[in-house]
Amino acid sequence: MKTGVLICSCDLRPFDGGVPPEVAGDPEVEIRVVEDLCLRPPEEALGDVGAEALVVLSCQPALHERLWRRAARALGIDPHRVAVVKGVKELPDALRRVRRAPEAEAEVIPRALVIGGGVAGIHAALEIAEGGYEVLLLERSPSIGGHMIQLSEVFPTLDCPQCILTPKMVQCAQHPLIDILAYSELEAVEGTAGRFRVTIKRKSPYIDWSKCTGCGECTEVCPVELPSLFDRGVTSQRAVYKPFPQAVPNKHVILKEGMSPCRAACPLGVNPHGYVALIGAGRFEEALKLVLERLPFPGIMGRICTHPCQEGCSRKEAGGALQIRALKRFLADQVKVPFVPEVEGEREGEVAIVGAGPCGLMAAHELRRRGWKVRVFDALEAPGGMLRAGIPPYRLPREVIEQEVAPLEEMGVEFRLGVRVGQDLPWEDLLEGYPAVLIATGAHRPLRLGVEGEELDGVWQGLEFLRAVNLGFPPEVRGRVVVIGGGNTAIDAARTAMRLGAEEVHLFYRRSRVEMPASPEEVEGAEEEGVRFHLLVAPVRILGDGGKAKGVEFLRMRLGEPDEEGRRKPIPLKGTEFQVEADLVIAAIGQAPELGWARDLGLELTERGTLKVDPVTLETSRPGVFAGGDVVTGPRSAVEAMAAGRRAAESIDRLLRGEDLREGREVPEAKVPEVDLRGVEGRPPERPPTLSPEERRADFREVELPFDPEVAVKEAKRCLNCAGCCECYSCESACEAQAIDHALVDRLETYEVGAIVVATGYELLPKGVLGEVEEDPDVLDPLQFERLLCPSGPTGGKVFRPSDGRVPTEVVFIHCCGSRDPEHHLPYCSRVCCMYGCKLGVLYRHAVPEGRFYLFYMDMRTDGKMYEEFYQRAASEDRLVFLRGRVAKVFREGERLAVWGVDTLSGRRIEVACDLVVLALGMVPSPGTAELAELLGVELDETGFFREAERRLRPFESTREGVFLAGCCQAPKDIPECVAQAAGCAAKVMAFFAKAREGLREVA
Amino acid sequence: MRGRIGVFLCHCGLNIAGSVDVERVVQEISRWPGVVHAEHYIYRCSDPGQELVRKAIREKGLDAIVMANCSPALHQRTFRDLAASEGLNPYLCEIANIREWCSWPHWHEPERATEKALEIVKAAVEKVRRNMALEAIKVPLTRRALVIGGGVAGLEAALDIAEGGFEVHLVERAPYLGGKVVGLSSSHPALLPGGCDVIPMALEAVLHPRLRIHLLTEVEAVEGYVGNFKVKLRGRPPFVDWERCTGCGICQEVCPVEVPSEFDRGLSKRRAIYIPHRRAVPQRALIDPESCLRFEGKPCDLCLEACPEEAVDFSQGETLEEVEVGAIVVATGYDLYPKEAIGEYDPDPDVIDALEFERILAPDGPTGGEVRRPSDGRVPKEVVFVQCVGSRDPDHHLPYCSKVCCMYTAKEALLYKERVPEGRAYVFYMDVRATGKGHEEFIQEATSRGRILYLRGRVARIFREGEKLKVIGIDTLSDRTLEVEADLVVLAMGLKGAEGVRELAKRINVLADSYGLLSESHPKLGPVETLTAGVYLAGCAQFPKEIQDSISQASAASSKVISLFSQEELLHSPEVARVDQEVCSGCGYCERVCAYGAVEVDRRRKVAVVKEVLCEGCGACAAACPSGAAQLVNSTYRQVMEMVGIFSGGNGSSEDEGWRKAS
Repeated sequence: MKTGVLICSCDLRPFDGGVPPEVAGDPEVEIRVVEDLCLRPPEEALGDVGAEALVVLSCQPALHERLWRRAARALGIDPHRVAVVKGVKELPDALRRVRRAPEAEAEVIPRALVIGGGVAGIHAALEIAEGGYEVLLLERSPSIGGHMIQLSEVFPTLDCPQCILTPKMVQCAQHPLIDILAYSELEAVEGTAGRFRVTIKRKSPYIDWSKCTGCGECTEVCPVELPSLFDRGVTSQRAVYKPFPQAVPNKHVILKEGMSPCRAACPLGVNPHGYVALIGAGRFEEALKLVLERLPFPGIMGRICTHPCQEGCSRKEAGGALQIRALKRFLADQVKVPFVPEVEGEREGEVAIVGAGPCGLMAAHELRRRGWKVRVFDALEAPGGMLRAGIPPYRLPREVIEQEVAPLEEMGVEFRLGVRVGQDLPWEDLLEGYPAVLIATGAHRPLRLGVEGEELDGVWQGLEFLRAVNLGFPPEVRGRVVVIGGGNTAIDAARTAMRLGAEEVHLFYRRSRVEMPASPEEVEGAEEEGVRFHLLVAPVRILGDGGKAKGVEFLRMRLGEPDEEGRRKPIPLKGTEFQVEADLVIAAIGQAPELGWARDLGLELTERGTLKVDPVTLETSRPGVFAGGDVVTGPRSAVEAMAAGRRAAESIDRLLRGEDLREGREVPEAKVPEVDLRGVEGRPPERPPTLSPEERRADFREVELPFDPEVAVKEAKRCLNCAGCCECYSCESACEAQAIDHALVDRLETYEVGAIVVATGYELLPKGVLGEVEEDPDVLDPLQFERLLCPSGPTGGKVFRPSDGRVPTEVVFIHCCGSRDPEHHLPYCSRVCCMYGCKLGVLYRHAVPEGRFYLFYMDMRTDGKMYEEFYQRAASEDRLVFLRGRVAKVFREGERLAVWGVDTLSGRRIEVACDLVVLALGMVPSPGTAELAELLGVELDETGFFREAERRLRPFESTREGVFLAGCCQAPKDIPECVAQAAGCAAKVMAFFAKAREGLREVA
Repeated sequence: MRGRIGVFLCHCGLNIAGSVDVERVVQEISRWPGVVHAEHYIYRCSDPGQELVRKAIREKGLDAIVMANCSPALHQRTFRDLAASEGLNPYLCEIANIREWCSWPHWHEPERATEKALEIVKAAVEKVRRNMALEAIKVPLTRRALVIGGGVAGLEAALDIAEGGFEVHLVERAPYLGGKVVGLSSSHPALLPGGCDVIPMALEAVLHPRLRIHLLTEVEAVEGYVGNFKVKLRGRPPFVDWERCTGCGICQEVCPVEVPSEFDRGLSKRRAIYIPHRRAVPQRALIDPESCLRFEGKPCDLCLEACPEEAVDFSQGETLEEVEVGAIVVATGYDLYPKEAIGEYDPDPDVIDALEFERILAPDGPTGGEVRRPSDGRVPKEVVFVQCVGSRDPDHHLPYCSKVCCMYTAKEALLYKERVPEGRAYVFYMDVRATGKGHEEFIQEATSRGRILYLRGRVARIFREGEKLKVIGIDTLSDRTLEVEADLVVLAMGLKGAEGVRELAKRINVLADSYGLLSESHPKLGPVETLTAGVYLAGCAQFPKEIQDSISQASAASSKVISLFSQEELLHSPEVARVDQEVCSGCGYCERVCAYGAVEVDRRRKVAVVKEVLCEGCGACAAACPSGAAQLVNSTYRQVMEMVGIFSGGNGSSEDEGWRKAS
């Protein structure tokens, strides 16, 4: 193919040879070196060659390409067979490129995608739509408007952006050619310029927008208070919200960030986040109802639950975990909700449950609720199992158990108490006699110490001791009691012994405090009551005299490597034996299930001597027989036993209905959000009141007392609302349009577009990056200050300082925070801060006429139309105090903030005491810019902003054909520049689309 | 007369409700005759706010509405569209401006603000009661644009419109395209030669099939209105047949006359017949009749004889052409504030402005890029750059910042240091303003790598002392007086509107300030529109700006043009003047007062006739008319006087005819 190679040579860039031989030697190549090529008419340079393809070597390909394509057409060369390159080394490649048959030009789809609904995106969309083309306006937040709509007023005219931008937003919403895709993000881009296929994720707002009227009833009832996104944390918002009153589209969304850790941690699936939020809102009845949905025993669990929820609480690192269990107990004690769940309708089918402990009771509740006949057998004379036998009444009063078990009987659960299966009723008969049986017999067999003297009189097993006391046959206790063990049973035994009249109670444990399995608050309680702890000691033998225990010999230990459970193993230290005298010895080192009968009935056991079950269905090796609780797991918590009860109930329900036991039960792990604790004040938790240690030792009255309502609310308000929405479903009932749908999921949509406009804007550097400025509630970023000054903002334009709500009388504004600082932060100038500093100062002075406003600046850059005039007026008429200099330090001094700086004009040190500091933080690309660039296949600058095709003459074309740039995504700029660039961008898009119009095909 | 009127108040957050008691206004207006519905809402312009209006129109069967909120400039269109969406004629929607006219100015007197708001609302009710349902006037649309100015902004605008599919006339008064950018040595921060940027654009313009270029041409007159402008173009003759001229340059070699070159700003000479500069697009010769001997009546035909193409043609005359266009983009650029205006700086050949120094630095300039001072051609060893000369000086010169000087000064100083490494460069500045992309980095590079001494302060005096120039200034950082002995002083003169632009602005009905800068319609959201529909601004004509911002604004202007041309038909407001032919005596008062040329007296019939598409509805004719024949549709005497009646304490709907003008 005859190919022309035109090489430009001018005084600025003289050509000095070096054409690669493969090009120079090609017989089909005609090389012409032309003086000032760009000044010559193309036909003069190449008219006689009759070339079919053209390669041009010139200074700036970005600027010459369009020209040479057009010129080529005049020479009869297909414009697709033209390449413009800068260096001789690129010639061979360019030659190959132009000789390849050009790909058939895809038909241009005259529809644009605009990414970002700020002022630039809005204008680009409107311009393109006004030009007669369809536009998809993509915005990741729930409303268009961007940062501009957050501003108080705009310089230099002090127009309010709500007034000037809202009409444009409404115009977008009403424009027949604009489709706003709010709350959506770009997921994928395929294809090429003219025909992109874009995949867009429509994030679930958990509200059906086709029904939502934006009325706001949902927001009214939402109990969750979060730092306001729109007001940048200056005030709060609800989890279901509309970002601001004029939002477009006028729709609400529910903010969900996965599942709160408290909720994810609860084996029973109770929703602590939900009821805590409702308590915080003072809505106790609703809170209790929410608890009861998953837990029919709030009074019991509000007292003795091991509260894994609190272990997961994000507050742990910020003051201490929320007192969730105590809040639950508060509800159970203080709020009266009649609670006998409705039975769904009687069914034909009978279930036997062996064991009326936590597992059995929960299963009985679940199965009866679903209409099955339930018969519960228990060896004890009263229901409760370990709750009754193992837990002393000072932790769980008996009447609480009775109150909460009573509804079961009312529902129609049949209790056969005092029946020991295996003795009073053969196991075989039971297993044969019911279509489904649940074995929930717990772990009541004490483990033995295995040391000499264990059989002596005066040596009790912990559980036996407790059972004797709890069931009303307390042994005589006096003198010194020695308790061996570190679990809850040991602590319970120690504290019980104290109450029975022991003079001294000593507890011996073989590891250190950290490894102690007992709940920390129990350990604490025991200590308060006078139990003395001896750690890292293990019993060697029990000393007796005349068949009666008189003391114990111990050996000291040290901690070795962690074992398979991660606890450090105790290692004996030889020769450290010592003896302790004792009147009573209680050994509480653990329990195990009694399962001697099981094997004969075809029930397999595990190596640990517990019942073997399917982990999902809890079915044993014998069909129709299920097991749960301690009998399966060994001694564990009540909450886990209850969870097993519910799980087994589900299996039994399925079995009786003839359904698959397994299907759909393996739920994926919930996504637990990470919570940013920066700026969260570390207020410690409220503690429930307790009896004094003296009062406690006298009898078995309950130690812990319930919260007062005010305290409960106060504690509940410490919740950080990790997951946003707490799923209390209040909004669902409030919504008259029935638009709320918590099950709504994200969905993907694909569209075809011809061009893409990126208008993703900026974000501010985080305040924390400045080492010289202390974090403080009264140190604001400028957008926060804008919100405080905004007449339609959260404070109605009244300026107050966040820390104490006082009107600040002295405000310091610091320019160039992070900007113009190539060594530490950003090398560039953020362009708009000088003007908004002046503006904020003027607005502040209007709001607080007696206030003083200081600005620390490096250079005042007020270089737009009417800007310099505004600045000079701000100094002379509004009396803002301009100090030329850098700030060295900002820190709190009592009620006020101190700002230390240097005035470079006078060379003197300046110290200003002020109430509020506003930082003009540098502008950076909005979060996710790098990922977006990757998706779009376009380049970024070294500063992270989008790179333009050519900085001066092609500022709104990206490095990829068909992808255009508007606004601050390319570099910081002020509003008119964004608007102009957006419109300019639209012109480029429309020119591109014009190709698709009939009769304009000759345009290159 | 409308009898089912709805009144809708907006709180505008606290903008209105902060001083006006909206509840009270609603209560009182509800009792006003003909008002069958009144309500208030926090943001009337929001979706729910608008929905409430729709609902009321539907359910109450309203036949007219009054929207009491902000200025009609902001939301009249919103609410009229809203009315139309419910089948109510949009001209039966009136705006009562209770924000700009009431709550804002009476912020601290809520009682009186409330009363005034009530009066404004009542007046609007009285007006709308007598409004007529109107239809927009359809206007023909010529889908062709005129771009005035062939600099970088004009070229960009013209190319974009042409690429958008429409024809463009590009008018440039110079004999070449590219404007001032072509003369720049290079442009920051990329440091590429200035012409290299703009020449490809100029060539593309020349090649573009939908672009017609008129060089040596100025706009003489503009008539008409959006969609229908008639523009007279007056072209100066080059006295060379450009169809034949090849730009070989033989003619200028033989020409005996030498005069200072405009392109080199007087730093070099050109001939009477000349190609404006080496890289002019197009490369065509022209004769300057001011200096050509032939035009002084002297016999010289050296060029005529030398031209191998026989292109020289002394008989060419001026051309006058009329073009019809639908939209106009003004991209007339800037001129430097004259250095002669600065009295403290003595005139001296070695005190030059920045554009002159650009030519000295330019590789194609008079010195081939070597830095030499104009007075004696010596290489200057000490150069002082003075920023903000004439800028930021509201008391004496330009009040504004000229925006581009900080950057070009740094660039010029850096180039100087590159060419004269042993030289010293001083920059006197007030604030260093480097706000564009890559600018701050460039300045930091210039100050550190270029070792340029930045001195913060103003220069008080410049005068010659022997071989050297003495520059006296104050360093505001150390508060000391500084004296620098310099070989060359470069003044960063402020930018102002181009020569002659104020006359042009008058012709196309655009506002120009006293510095020749043209006014945009809204400083934030309407940076390229003007108050005259169909006329747009690009580049430095509006305000000094960088090349990239000019490009951006130029493309924005073309986007507006393309949008305009994409409409199927143009609509003009029907709220125009009408003349009652029965009453009119043809006195012609109206014709004299009309600023838009929209009323003319038909001399034959002796009645005034309104050209509705030109009428902007200002009402001057109605006010001037002695007989009451000229009236403004929907602002008739009757309506206006009813409103006046309200403000003077009346009760509205007056049947008292006493106010009527005697005819």
